[in-house]
Amino acid sequence: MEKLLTKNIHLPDSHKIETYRATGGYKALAKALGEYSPEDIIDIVKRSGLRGRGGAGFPAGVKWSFMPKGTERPKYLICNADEGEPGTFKDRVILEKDPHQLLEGIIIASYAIGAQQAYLYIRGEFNLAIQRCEAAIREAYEHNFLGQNIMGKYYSLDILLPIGAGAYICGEETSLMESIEGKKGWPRIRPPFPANRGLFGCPTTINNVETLANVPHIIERGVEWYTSIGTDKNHGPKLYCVSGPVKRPGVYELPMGTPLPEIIFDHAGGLFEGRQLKGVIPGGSSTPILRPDEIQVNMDFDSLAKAGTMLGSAGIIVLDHTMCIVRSTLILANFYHHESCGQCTPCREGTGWLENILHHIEEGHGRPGDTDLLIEICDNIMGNAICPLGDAAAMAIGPAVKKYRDEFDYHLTNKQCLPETRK
Amino acid sequence: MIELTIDGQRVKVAEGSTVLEASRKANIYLPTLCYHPSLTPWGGCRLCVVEIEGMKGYPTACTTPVTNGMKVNTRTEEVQELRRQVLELILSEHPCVCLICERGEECEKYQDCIRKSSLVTGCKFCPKDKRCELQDMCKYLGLREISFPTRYRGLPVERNDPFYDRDYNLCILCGRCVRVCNEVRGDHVLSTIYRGSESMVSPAFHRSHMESYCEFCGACVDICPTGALSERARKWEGVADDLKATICPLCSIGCQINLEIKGERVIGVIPDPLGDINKGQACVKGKFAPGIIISHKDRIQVPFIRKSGKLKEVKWDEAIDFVANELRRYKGRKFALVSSPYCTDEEHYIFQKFTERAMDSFSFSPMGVHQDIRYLGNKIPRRGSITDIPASKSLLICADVTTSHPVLGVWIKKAMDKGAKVVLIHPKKVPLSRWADVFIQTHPSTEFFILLHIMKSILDDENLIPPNLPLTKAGKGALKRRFSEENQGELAKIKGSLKGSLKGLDFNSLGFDPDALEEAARSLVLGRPTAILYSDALFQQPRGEEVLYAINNLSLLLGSEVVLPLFAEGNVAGCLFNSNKGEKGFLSYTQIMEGIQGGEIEALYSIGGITGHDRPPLKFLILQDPYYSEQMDFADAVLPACTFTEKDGTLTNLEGKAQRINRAIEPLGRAKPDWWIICEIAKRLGARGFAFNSIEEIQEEMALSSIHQDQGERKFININTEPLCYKIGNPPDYPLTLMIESDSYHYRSFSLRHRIKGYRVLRDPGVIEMNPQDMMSRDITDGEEVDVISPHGRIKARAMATEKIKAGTTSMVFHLSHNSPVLLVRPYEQKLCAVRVEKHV
Repeated sequence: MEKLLTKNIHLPDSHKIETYRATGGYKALAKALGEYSPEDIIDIVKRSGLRGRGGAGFPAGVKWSFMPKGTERPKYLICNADEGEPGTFKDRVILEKDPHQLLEGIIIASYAIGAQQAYLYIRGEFNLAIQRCEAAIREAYEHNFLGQNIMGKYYSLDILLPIGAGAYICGEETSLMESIEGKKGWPRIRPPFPANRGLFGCPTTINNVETLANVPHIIERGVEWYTSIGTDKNHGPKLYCVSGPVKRPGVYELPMGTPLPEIIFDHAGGLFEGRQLKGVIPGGSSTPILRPDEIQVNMDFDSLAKAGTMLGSAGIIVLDHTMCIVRSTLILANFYHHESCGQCTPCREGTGWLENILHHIEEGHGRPGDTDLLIEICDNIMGNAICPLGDAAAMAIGPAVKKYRDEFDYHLTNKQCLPETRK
Repeated sequence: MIELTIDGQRVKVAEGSTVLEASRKANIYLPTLCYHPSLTPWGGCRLCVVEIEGMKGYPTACTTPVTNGMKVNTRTEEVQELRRQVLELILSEHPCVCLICERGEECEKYQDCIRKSSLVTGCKFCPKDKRCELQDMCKYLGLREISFPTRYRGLPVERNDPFYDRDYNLCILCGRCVRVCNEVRGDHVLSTIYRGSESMVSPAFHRSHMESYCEFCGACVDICPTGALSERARKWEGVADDLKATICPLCSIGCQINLEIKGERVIGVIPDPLGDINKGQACVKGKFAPGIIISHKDRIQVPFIRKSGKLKEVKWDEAIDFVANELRRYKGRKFALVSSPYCTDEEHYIFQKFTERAMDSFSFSPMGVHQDIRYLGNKIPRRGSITDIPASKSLLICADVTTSHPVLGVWIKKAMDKGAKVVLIHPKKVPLSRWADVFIQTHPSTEFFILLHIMKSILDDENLIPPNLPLTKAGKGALKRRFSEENQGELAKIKGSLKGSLKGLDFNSLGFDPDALEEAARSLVLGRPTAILYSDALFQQPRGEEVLYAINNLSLLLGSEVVLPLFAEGNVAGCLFNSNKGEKGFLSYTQIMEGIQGGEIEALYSIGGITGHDRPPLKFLILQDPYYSEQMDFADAVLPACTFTEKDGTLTNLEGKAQRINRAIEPLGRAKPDWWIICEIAKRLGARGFAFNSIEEIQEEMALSSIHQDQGERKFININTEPLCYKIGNPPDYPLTLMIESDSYHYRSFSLRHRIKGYRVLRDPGVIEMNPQDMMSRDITDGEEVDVISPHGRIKARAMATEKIKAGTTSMVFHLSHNSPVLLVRPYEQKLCAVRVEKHV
């Protein structure tokens, strides 16, 4: 497939506006502002079937159309660049290597929803990305792609670049808004939804970096072209991140719906010599793990949902036979426990107990019944927390325990890891 | 209206209600922990989860808005199981062995566990036992075991701040205290620090509460569902037998409170959630003091009379005979009575009647009330009610309101949340000044000129309305008309008198920022309606009467419908508005004191308390008070009076609203209500019209008499001053100005700050606050003992450096105990005097 999102990243100075414009950058913006009304753009994006790349896969155009019309309240667009999901590093590539592609997407999206202020909330640890985005925003202002009367048209937009302070929870959209407002990153109760009462109580749309980076391409090349990529209801290019004991880990741009084995074995070069596949977490740490016999699946939202897991942020984490599943689950439990915000009971207490119990099992102090207790806690958290962080923890741990129950039981009876996973 | 079905029952509720509100309306119980009706829903505890047809998962009832045709199931087995699991998770970190102990029932009966323990490991060792909402939840859900091993957080119990202990090992992070502090009190002291299961309730950055401007209102203690926050004084008192409604007399707001009664003791206070004025809120005084002061060890329980030089305990009969016999000799001008501003309206009526009818005297005064002010009575500008404050768009405040009347702060902050501008005029940087939009730090006693100057700015309206102001033409017109049509004649007069008053005044010498004054005037004119709140200290100073006129005029100029005088003590308003119709007129407190010094007054009946370490030159002195005081050493008779919890009556609050206090407990020892004692003495003296058996009989008679409250006419009062000759500046021998801050941290003669450590920690009454500049120039170090000397007296104090007051100003709190600053002032009721401060030798 022709590279779209990553077409510039190997060029020298790919982050600079000259490079971006030399490869046709900001043409889509000119087209959007010149030829289309905001409603047209929402309609185009709706018809393109672009689905949110942040994890939930909600159609972006539909989300934009939720923004109230004819209100006097200011509207905001937020680009969520707080990429913190373990195993996911796709947005970072865009932020570092091609920030203008993202800016163009932000400007078009803001125009479509009628926002005159956009926020690019970026993860605090992304030092290079922050520098590059700051520079890119400056360049965009200099070239009048931002600021008053963009490209001479009757549309103005400002972008602010708030920087996160290291909390995973702030990648959740409502916590992110709290964080921009200067408060503690705690998720809000929904309803009201952000489209009605979002940032500073005003209508807000929040999109992932990759989602917005898709927008200029759709505007430039049209709906027919875009829908020809990928599978039914899952259109467009997708960035897949592959990590784990594979020969060529990294970010791969492939059409939506590429089969999972193809990504692991062809593009990422397969496992190291002598290793056997033990499992694959297909969409970032928060998605249920797949056993080797389940990996014959297309990497798109619907196929993975059918397989009982999620595309999530498409962070494919490969586990081989030397990895102790208890240890890998413990690492994830530790992460979710550390990142739980503490607002609601199931997640605050549940993640703590998940880590605690897993730690005991891994150390050889597990008690009979611990596996059931783990599953019970996960069931309790699932669907019962204020925000998706609790669900994420439950999905990361519950299925792993269920699918690798033998290995957990081995730990309980033998007080140690399987022989091949011992260090 | 929205119609929905809950558990098969059809419910109609208003749009915007939540499922929880709907089910409460339908009397369907839902377990909750983090929900509280006065707070915004939070959805944290997840106990109110329900099943809603067509919605996935288990939404929380407290956060889900109702929709038409919604079908809710609250009690399916899945839901109950989910709740049980959630509760298990909550309890997994909460010491709860007793909740699931198999010997629980036995323990209930025989109390075989030791109840006092340094560490709370279970309910029986917890101060909140039987009042704990977690226990209710366990009972409701029938929780019998907990799947998790016990985990104890091991946090130290925080006992360093006054009044309440914080044991965050018991905290379940429902966030109610944080939300009440932020949403209801507007104090923003509490927050949740750290993250996840390490989350903790604490002021930001783990600072102490004192550092974080906590006002110790106790709202967090009231709202805590567990034993995490517990009031130190009532910690081990257990469950109250009864709740008795009454009114808090510790300031003039008149908050409705419920006294927790156990046996014959008041063990604590729960502010009434339905109270009109306080809406479930109390303050550091009303929440924590009553439980301590009512059964304090310093209560006088029996009458004493002085026989051959010694005070002797006697029966009431003997005491009354003794007093009556003695008083017979001092009828007429030789007798004076000083009443207490904490006594009830009925008692003031009786005191006045006693002075007039039984003693043929007219020397009656409530403690510390200026005669002029009493005559002013109806001229004290007073309009509107406290509950109107939040509707204001601007507030003019001349008081340390969050210290003296903390519950008013709740309303003020509510107005501020809605965008009201606050103009604060005060000689000291008080807690409210950090919230104020315009803070004008005055030299004490110059408030008058500031008020006049603000008026002047308003009248010169051309300058006031800047051209770029978003005001419509009609709005500007209305503003002009207001000044031209209304009160045309008086306005001209007031303009004239303003010119006269401000003429010759070198305004720059007062050191005000003219821009701040302009800004204040602008905020007040543009932000209407305006509320005006002013402290009684404002008119207890030289030119006090004129300050009242200035406030009256300003309030009319601004069209304020809320003008409230913030009297310090509980029933000053009752004294002023109910007892000043004496035919012959009455002496003021100062006149009485001077009469004593001059020898004209030979017998004093002191109910409100007197100051001084030595016996005044009196032939006969009666002290009537609930508490021991140092003046007992030279009193001839000491009569034990009841506190407000032991008698009936009414208190008039600063709005002029009479509210009933109720007898909640039997009087301590042989103490009697003040009115009863006076009536008995009167009867013994042979006076008629004192045969009252109950407070209702007095009220009936009062209703017949001419006493009634009227709020006075609304008209401009000409401030009749000659061109100003008032000099700002002190005599050279006494270069400092001492402010006596009267914020009512006492009850009768009982000073909270002297006798209760917690209040002393908040502000030490033995301290004189000084600007560091003044201390340096006198070579005084922080904490050093100093002599404070005025032309009238000398007291000892400890100097404390603070930047809160300007150089040239010093400040102490009002009290009647040792080294009372009252000894420095003449007239006694004034709150200002010129002093010099010297190192103590």
